[in-house]
Amino acid sequence: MDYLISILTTIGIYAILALSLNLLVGFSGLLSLAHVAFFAIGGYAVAICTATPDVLAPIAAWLPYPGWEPGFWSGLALGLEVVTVVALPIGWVLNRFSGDIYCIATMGIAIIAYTFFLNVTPITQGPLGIAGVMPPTIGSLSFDRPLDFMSFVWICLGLITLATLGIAESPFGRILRSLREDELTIRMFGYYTPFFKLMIFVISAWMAVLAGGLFACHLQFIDPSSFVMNEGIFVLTMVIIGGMASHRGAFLGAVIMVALPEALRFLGAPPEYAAQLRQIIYGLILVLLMIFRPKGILGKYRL
Amino acid sequence: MIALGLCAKETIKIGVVLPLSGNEAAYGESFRNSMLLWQNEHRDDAEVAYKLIFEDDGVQMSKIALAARKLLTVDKVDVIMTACGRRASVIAPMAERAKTPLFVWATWQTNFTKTPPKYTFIMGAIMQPEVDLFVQTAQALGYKRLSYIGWNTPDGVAMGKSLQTALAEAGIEIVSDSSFMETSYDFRTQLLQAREAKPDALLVIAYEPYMPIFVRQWRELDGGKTPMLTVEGFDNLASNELLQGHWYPCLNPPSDEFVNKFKAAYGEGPLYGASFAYDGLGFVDKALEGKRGPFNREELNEAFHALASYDGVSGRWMNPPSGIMDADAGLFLIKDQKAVAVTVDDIVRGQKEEMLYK
Repeated sequence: MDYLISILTTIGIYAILALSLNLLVGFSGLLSLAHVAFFAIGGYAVAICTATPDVLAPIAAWLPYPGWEPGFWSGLALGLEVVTVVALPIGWVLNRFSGDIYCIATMGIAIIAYTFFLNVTPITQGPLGIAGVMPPTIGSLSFDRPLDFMSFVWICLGLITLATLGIAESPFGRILRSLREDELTIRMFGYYTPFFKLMIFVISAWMAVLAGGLFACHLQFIDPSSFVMNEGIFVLTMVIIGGMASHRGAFLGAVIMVALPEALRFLGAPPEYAAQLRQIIYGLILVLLMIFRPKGILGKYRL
Repeated sequence: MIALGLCAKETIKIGVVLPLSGNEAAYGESFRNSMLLWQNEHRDDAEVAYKLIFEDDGVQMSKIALAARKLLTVDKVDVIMTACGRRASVIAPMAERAKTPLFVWATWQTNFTKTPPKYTFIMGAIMQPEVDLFVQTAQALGYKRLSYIGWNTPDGVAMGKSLQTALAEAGIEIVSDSSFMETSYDFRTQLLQAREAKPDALLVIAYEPYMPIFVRQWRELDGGKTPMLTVEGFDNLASNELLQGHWYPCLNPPSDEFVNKFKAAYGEGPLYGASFAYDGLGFVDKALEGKRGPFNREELNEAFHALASYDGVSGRWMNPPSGIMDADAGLFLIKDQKAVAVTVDDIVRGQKEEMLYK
């Protein structure tokens, strides 16, 4: 049962990440690999505030809330503050690019973030990582048992789903979709498109912070290896497999990418070949999906 | 009667989380093969039957957690085993919570949980003997300036810190300090930086598959002028002809008998630390010797703590109450494509007789 709970928790966390990335990639047509950087900021903010809050003492005066106490919520608030400060200039710079160049530039952001977390050892402990990340609490209620934590993650997922639905169906969301289709036309109608691109970049980064914080609590340990470029591609694959510009698609993508390799653990192959066999089958399924459903399972657009 | 006896054997389920795919797969496979070798050899004589369940983590943190959770809750393993500090940092809190004994091999880290663990046994984490041996030998050879290239992983950083502290205390200066990441295979930038500092020797903390590349690229850039040193990293690389005359300290090196058995079974030598996995199973078996099952996890944990020492293929493991197992370090010189156990004096003599590399 705990295994199933753990899978559902992991799905919930990645679904939040995929839903938020879908706002960028699916709805707005901004192919970003920088999302993993914001995911990392959330993870580290929560990890530091729950496990090693002493490192924040020198900057306590700049924290966004007076008399802060170590814990998940202060970590989340710190993560949101940091990501806002970071994502605004990054988004502004990225607005100068489009298409493939935009993607390459975001790749650079992801690499910079990884290198930062790896090397700023006084804060992040570098490759040693941060152990002992604590679960969230609300008053005296602690979400430390696996089932409780899974429920918490899925409540967060529900809220994020509502938020993404709200954004997508709002006039703002319609402008995002128009951006994707034809940016020049929407500009001719008088919309200042860089503002909309910047806003969705920051909003999706906020959501990634939440996913990162939950991820750190789930593993109770984080190190920079959780935030490598491959992780960004892993989440992007969820969005593409599930189907771009589809909330259900992003969620389904997370389910497939997390649950499928776990299901393949039960193949019963000899231990000498089991891992390789799993990888081959997993890869084949993804290739077949892309051949037969090039827009993703529930998607509306090709990449 | 024999059949009845076999049926009556208690079965202990051992779950193993290893990187069996991804860029650390070579290590995972070597550890797995070691365990399968032990199981094949002791299938009949062991008093307890062992069911080994291997799970791949693909070197992805979320998969490490899921693999461990599956082993603990679906397979309901009695003991869980893994390699390296990164994996242990994720699995140890789960294992402690599930009150399941956890064996961790080949890590230089020991702090995986906020409170001292009760169910965690670490094999090969005491690096001080080999660090001391390294510093002693470097001093005896008259090295004053070393360039350092470290492995940017939790274990690599832990070793680097320990080495650099000991070297500083011994008055050996680190004149260039850089690191490498697991995803890269071109180390020329770091090696050029190391060469520019004009060191007496280059110290690299790396293993396969990176170490042979380091050796080749250093030879290419430096032209064989400056020796390359390491701790443990040359183990299993003695057959590489470029390493003739190199020396290295190594903690719990595997016995020749084990290496030969491994080679006979799998066609290649074990990677460093794989013998710990073999000894891990041997340790469990020894701890249960003469005991009657069925065992619960708590009883197993008590039995493991009760075993004060174990003589394995990696030497004698001392098992203190902390579970952080200690063993001896040795000094080795690569000669005629074989690693030969030597003393510090042998190395110094080797330098005078120009037997050392350079």
